[in-house]
Amino acid sequence: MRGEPIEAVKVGVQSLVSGLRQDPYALESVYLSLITFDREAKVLCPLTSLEDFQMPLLECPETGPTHLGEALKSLCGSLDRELIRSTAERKGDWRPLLFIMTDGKPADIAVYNEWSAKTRTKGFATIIACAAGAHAKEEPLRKVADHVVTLDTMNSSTFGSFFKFVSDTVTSGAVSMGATANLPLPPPPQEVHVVI
Amino acid sequence: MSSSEHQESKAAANPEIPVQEAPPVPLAENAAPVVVAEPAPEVVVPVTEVVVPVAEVVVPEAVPVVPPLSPAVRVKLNERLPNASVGKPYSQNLNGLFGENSKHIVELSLNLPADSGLEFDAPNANLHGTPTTSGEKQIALTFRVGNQAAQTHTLALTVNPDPSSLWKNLPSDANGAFAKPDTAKAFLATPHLNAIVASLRGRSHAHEGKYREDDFGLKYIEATGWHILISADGAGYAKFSRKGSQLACQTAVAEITEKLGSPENPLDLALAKLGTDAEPGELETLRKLSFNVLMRAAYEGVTLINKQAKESQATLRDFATTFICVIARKLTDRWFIASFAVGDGGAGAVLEDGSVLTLTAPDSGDFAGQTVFLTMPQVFADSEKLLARAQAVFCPNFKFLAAMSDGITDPIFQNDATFASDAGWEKFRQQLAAVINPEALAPGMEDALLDWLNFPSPGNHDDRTLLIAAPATTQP
Repeated sequence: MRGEPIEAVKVGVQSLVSGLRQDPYALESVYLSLITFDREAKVLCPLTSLEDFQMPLLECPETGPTHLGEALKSLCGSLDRELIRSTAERKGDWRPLLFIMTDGKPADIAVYNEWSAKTRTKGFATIIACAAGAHAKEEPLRKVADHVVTLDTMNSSTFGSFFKFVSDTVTSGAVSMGATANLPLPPPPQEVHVVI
Repeated sequence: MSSSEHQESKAAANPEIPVQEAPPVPLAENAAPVVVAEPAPEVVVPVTEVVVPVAEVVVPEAVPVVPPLSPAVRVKLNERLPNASVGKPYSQNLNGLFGENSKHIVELSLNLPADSGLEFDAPNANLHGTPTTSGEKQIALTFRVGNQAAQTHTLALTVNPDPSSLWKNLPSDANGAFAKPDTAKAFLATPHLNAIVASLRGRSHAHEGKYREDDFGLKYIEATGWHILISADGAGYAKFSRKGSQLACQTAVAEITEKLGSPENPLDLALAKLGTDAEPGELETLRKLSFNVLMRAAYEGVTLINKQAKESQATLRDFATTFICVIARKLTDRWFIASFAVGDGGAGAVLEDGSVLTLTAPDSGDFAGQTVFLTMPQVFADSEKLLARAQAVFCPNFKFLAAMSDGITDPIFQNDATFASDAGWEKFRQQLAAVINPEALAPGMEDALLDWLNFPSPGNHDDRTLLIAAPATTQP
């Protein structure tokens, strides 16, 4: 992803963050982590409170393989290190939410197959994958995601809608739920197509 | 003394600052380059990234160049300050922006908006204060490198709003499906004890005009002397859980009243046969007899909820609720207390020596907010686990007993270990004592309790329901 799309993602993440900062519950409870992936996965920002979060520099190469499997592997490692689970002495974090955006398809198939399965055992309240643009493949994303959405175009307007949807999902995430239940999704905006 | 005078005297006292060799050259801020001869010192200019200012970027090409400064000073400038928050003290030393080269920076000054709540302590390069307004702030930063001309950059500072200023309190729709008042309270006096209860819609629901999902049941059965206390917490994700919690409470109260309404019931008959010292085996029998009553009452609730779900063309899951139920009866020389609980929240009794007798076992998962609901089929599927949800105890007397939703246990006790500790309950008692006397309850205290339920606690904004009962004899 480069050019206008990556700019639009930046704007989208920034508006997601400013939007969440206007929600008092989110401001006190949301932590964000950003991982980018191309040939390699990079943790741009480990889990950071919304209060302290600063937008890191998003850089993507012009061409190169999409190593989503590596990204999931990196994610699982981060989760094991950073996420607090409940014990008798300490109340844990809320269940995490995962949003994956890609404009391509996973190129590291074997790694992807292994780590998409592992990701699904990590206790996410929901995993939403977004296939953005004409070249994105939604089918492989079903392996990891509870919900796959597609965006026809990759401009600031469609990304804006997608991040609004992400924001709505995040703000509805801090609720009591059953141990195995999945978070019901807020209604997606018009530009975001939920793949059934 | 002006700040520039101060800076100069400081510079004179500090031999490390390489200001003497470079002649001062007028330099317009971010102006077009002046002619170059020698390699220039690297100085940072703001990067005009459209939305996101970028940290730690050195762009030597774009720098207005000056005659040689010796030794060459490399300055890196981080243009984004760590975030601040309205109402929270902030202190940031700006020397840190320049890394190890801060010693070459002189005449550092900031142009702060008058109403920012922040001040700049120039001699110490310290930006400090308590921010008063939120938003993305742009602050002009002016300084000189050595004796070069002054340059001005823009610093970005995010000031978070104070969460408490953002909460809205929107009334719920009184005419909506399964509408429920945003608060509820009650006082109950019996020959044996006094009880109060208050239930308050949480801030997270008030913010969106949603309903209170908690509910409670409080009743005295005159014929047999049983007291019933129930707290139920509708699941946040379930759209009709306010009705689920209400049905669970109402049905259980009705069921228990029916089962324990006359002295001829198995539990009261067994209690009547007790000697002065109950054998452990007898207590186990009593626990099972109590279980039969309370589990049936809970199950009846699920049956009615199921019926309601069908009528509403919804699922059982849409009505998910927890269920914390305590029954207590004064015998001639002691109290018998039994409980049955599914889900988080909890109940306990503080004894006269200050120790706590917890009446519920922890029922939470790996993450916050994860628990078990009465409406889950697996709850009634495993009879052994189901039976373990019931407890029964004797105690000679108690100071007070309490049943509550997780809106109370999360902020007050915080974890399962504290909930099971005497110290945790003593702290809870002290917090209550600021507004009521939990050991000597009187009419009107339910109002004070309802007010108290609104206490602030970062991250804890769920509905809160608290029932407290204290033996009537301890009243002054």
